[in-house]
Formats: sequence, C-alpha cells, structure tokens
Amino acid sequence: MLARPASIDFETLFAASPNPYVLLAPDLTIVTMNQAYLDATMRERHELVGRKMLDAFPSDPASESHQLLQGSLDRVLRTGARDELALIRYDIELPSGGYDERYWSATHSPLLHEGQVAYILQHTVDVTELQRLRTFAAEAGHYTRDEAGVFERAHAVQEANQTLSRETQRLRTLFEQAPGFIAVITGPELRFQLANAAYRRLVANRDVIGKTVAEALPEVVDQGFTTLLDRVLTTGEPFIGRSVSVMLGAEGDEPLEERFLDFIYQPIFAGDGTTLGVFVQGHDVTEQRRAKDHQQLLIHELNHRVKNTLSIVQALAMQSFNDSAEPAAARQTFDARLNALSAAHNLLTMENWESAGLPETIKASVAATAGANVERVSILGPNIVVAPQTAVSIAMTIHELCTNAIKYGALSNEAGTVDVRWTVSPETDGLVDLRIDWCESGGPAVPPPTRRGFGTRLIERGLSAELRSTVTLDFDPSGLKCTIIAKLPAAIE
Amino acid sequence: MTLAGATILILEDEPIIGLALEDMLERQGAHVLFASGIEEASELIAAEQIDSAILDVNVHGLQSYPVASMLAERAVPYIFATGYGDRSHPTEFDGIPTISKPYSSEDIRLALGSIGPKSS
Repeated sequence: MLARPASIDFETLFAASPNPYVLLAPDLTIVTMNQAYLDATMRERHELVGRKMLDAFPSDPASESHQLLQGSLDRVLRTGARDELALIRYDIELPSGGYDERYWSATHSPLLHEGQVAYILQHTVDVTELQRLRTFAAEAGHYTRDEAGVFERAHAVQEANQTLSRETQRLRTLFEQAPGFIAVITGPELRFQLANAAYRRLVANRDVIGKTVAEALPEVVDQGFTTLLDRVLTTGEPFIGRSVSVMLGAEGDEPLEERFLDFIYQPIFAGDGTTLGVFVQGHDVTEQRRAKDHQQLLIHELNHRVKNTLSIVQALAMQSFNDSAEPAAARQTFDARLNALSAAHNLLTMENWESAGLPETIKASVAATAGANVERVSILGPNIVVAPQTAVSIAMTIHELCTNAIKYGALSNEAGTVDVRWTVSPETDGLVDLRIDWCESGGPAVPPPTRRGFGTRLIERGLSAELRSTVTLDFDPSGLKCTIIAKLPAAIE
Repeated sequence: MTLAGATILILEDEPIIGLALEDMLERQGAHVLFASGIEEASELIAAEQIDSAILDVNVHGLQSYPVASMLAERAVPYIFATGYGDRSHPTEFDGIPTISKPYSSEDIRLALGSIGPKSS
C-alpha cells in the first residue's frame, strides 16, 4: 500500500475536486470556492470572494428559488445540521448578459467550531441536463413517479375543465334552442345578460344583451313590466303571468303588435339570499289565445243560431197547430215547413253559414215542397248570394207560395205551371234591389182568399232584409202573381 | 198590465218569429205594430201612440238600444227579447226585463206584466 504522505495539502485537494464547492461564512459571505464551482457558475474567483452569496447570485427575493436557498442556509445556521435541496431552479447570469435557466441539487453542510456554525460548505451539482431529460421524458409519456403524480393531477384538472366546458356549452345550446323564451336580467338597472333565440324572436330580433330593459324594449315600460321586474327584485317573490297581453314593437317605427304570453319572473338569489336578478321564462300563447277567442265567438254564434232556429220552429209549430187546424193536416203542414227550413239550413251549412246562392235556395225550397211537381216550376235568374237570414226567409216564402199553389193554384191540377224569375238592379250606395216574380198560369181560376192565413201573411211580410221589402200579391184569375222587392247588400263577403 | 186594447210595438228581424209573436199578442186582445228594422221602429214610435214594446236586441247585426232610449224618453215601458245567451246590457238598460228565445206566451205575458202600464 502507498505510504500516507507526511502532510496532505487539503487546499490542493479542495481545489482539484471535480465536485463544485463553495464555503460560506455564517453571514453568507463567500469565503472561498474551488475551480469546479467557478466552472459551474461561469464566474471568476475575484467576482465572488467577499460578497454575500445572494448578492453574488442575485434572484428575486419573492421567487421560489430565492426562498428555497435562503431557507436551506437559515436552517443550517439555526440547527447546525446538514440540509439538502433535492432540486432547486436557480438561474445564473451569463457573462454575456441575460440569464441561463439552471437546475441544481445542493447539500449545505455546517462546519462547527465549539458547537457553533463556523462555516457552511455548499456542495452543488448542476442537474440542468438531467432536468431537461426528465422534462423531455415526461412529454414523451415516461415520467418519474413524483412527476407522474403532478402530471396526473394536472391531467385530471384539465379533464374536469373540459367536462365543465362541454356541460356549459350543452346548457347554452339547450337554452338557445328551448321552444320557450328565456332571458336573464340582472341588477337594479335591469340589464339583459342572456336572451335565447325564442326571446329574440319575440322582440323582433332587437339587440338586447348588455342593455337595460328600458333601453332595449322602451314600449314595455308604460305597460308596467319594469315595475313588475323591480317588484320581483325587491321582494324576491316570483311573478307568474297567464295569457298576459303585451304590446311589442320592433326596430324603427313598426307599429306595436299585441302578443299574449304565459311567463314567470323568477328571482335569482345570491348565496346570502339577496336577489341578483330575474330569470324570465315563458311561452308565446298568442295563437292559442286567438284560437280560443275565435272558438268562443263560434260557440256564441252557434248558440244564437240554435236559439233562433228553435224560435222559428216554435213559431212554425204555433202557427201550424193553431186552434182552427185539423190535427192531421196541421202535422202535415208543420212537417212541410220544417222540411223547407231544413233545406235552407243544408245550403247554409255547406257555405259555413256565411251565405247561400239564391238559385240554389229557391230550387231547394221548391224541391222540398213540390216533390214530383218540381218539373212544372221553372226557375231562372242571375247567380247571386244572400245573407243567411235572408236565405231562410226566401226559402220559407217560396215554401208558402209553393204550398198555396199545390193547394189552390197552378200546381193543384195536372196542367198548371209556375215561373220564378228574378233580377238584380245596378248597385247604389252598396245596395241592390232584388226583384223576385212568382207567376202562376194554367191553374184553376183563383178566387181572392176569404181568410188570410199564416202563409199569406208570411209572404206579405216579405223578406228579412236590412231595409223594408215590398210585396204585392195579385190574385189574378189566370193565376197568382207575387212580386217581392228587397234591398240587399250588393256583395256578401 | 192587461194586453186587451193595448198598442204593442214588436221589433223583430225574423219574419216568422215576428208573426208568431204578433198572433200571440193579438189573441190576447192587443193591437200590434210590427217593425223589422231599427229605422222602421223609430218611425212608428214617432208616429204612433204606443203602450209598450218588445225589442229584439240584435236586429240585422245592429243593436236596438237607440230604440230603447226613444221609448224611455217617452216613458213607454218595454222588454228585451234576445237569442244571445248574455243578458248584459249597457248600464242605462240595467233592470229592463229580458226574455230569451225561444220564449213562450207565458214568458211574454209575465215580462209585460212586470213593467206595468205607461206612466203618462
């Protein structure tokens, strides 16, 4: 074995070590260092000796690097025990200026003298290269255990964020596409934060986001909607509106349009119970409302018509079954009248009870009354339409004329005929004169009636028309002639 | 009021119903004036001495309230007859007896009886 040298030059040994060393005084002044340290830190000895460690290698006192280093040295001074920094980033100022990103592993060993820390020996290893390799490996998917944990946590957080983001997007899409209208209005100034497609359609696609309700929809202020929103904000009580009428405008000078809305103003609460805003949600029920109103109108109208028809039937019954009538004959008369009325109703029903064609009305009444004799009645005139009530009275008048002809007139024998002709005058002030001529011939000689029955009186009363109609009955021995003149509206819608 | 000898105005746009009502009243001894429109009724009120009246509310799409007002000015008692379900008249006609179609002769008699004779 080699003989131990008589004297070992520790100074030379220190200087020759390939491991970087620096020796610090308790006040962290740099006392000395070896060449490896100077190489690692790219400094000259004279730049470092006598300077405070943290001045010689400056770093932001608030930075993690600074605090880690300071903390480790303080612990050595305080405890007199070795302290290790497994990994510390501590950037080194380049001689050319700027900083080089460096990672270090450092051991701080106290040198004690009489129980006190006389010096701190720092043994530091530049692990920048290793750190870079680790980073590279981590990016490639091979990471060390510690880093794997961090990476997994980071990955988990990122995953959660993506899920939240997808969820947010899904909810936004849901809101946007909801069939009902949705808006969020916040703050005492009632500012729109959100409005979905249905809401934007409702307000004629006006720009509302970021505006106050009064700015965006000025027409609703006087209709009390801002007051209502204020109340929901103040009281925290929701408001539910059913088929509420609102006049809504559009951009520019478009006239306001009435809409009917089912909606709820739901207060939005903060964690402490104060109201932040109002969630508006509802449906435009204008179409339903109009359909309902229309239906109500139809039911009302139907009720009227049924009652009116019953009244007519009642009147016909009273007249047919009067004191002087023989029961079997009375029933026959009543049946015939009901048939005529029913024929007129059939025509009106086909036209939705809006009107009836005059030729059809006369033909139907004659057919219902004359039966097989219908071929002996010639009917001729222009095709016009008349109002329902007029159609019914024409049908009943023709029925009574027909009945009279069958009993006493041209249809009471085998040879007689009836001509029914009508003409319409040119229009004056939206009215026309309708003239209907009923002309019998070929029947037995007609004596004037001794008693004016219901039929004759009904014929004489004329048509139900807005203005008086005039009726002349001429009991000409060659045949009955009846002329009816009535003023009617020129055209029925 | 008794109908015998009384002059009663009928305003009714449906001829068949008007005729039946006319017969009903005449059988009870009344003298009937018949109008099928508002204008005709107004002319009759202006020209004739009328003791009471039966007014159809809806006449050719118009309402007969102006005729009712004319009667009220002359202190002629009257009743309304309506085919519409509602009996809600304008405020000034509140309390006017109203009979619904179809009505019986008893309905007419009772309603006319409730309004009393003309207070002239």
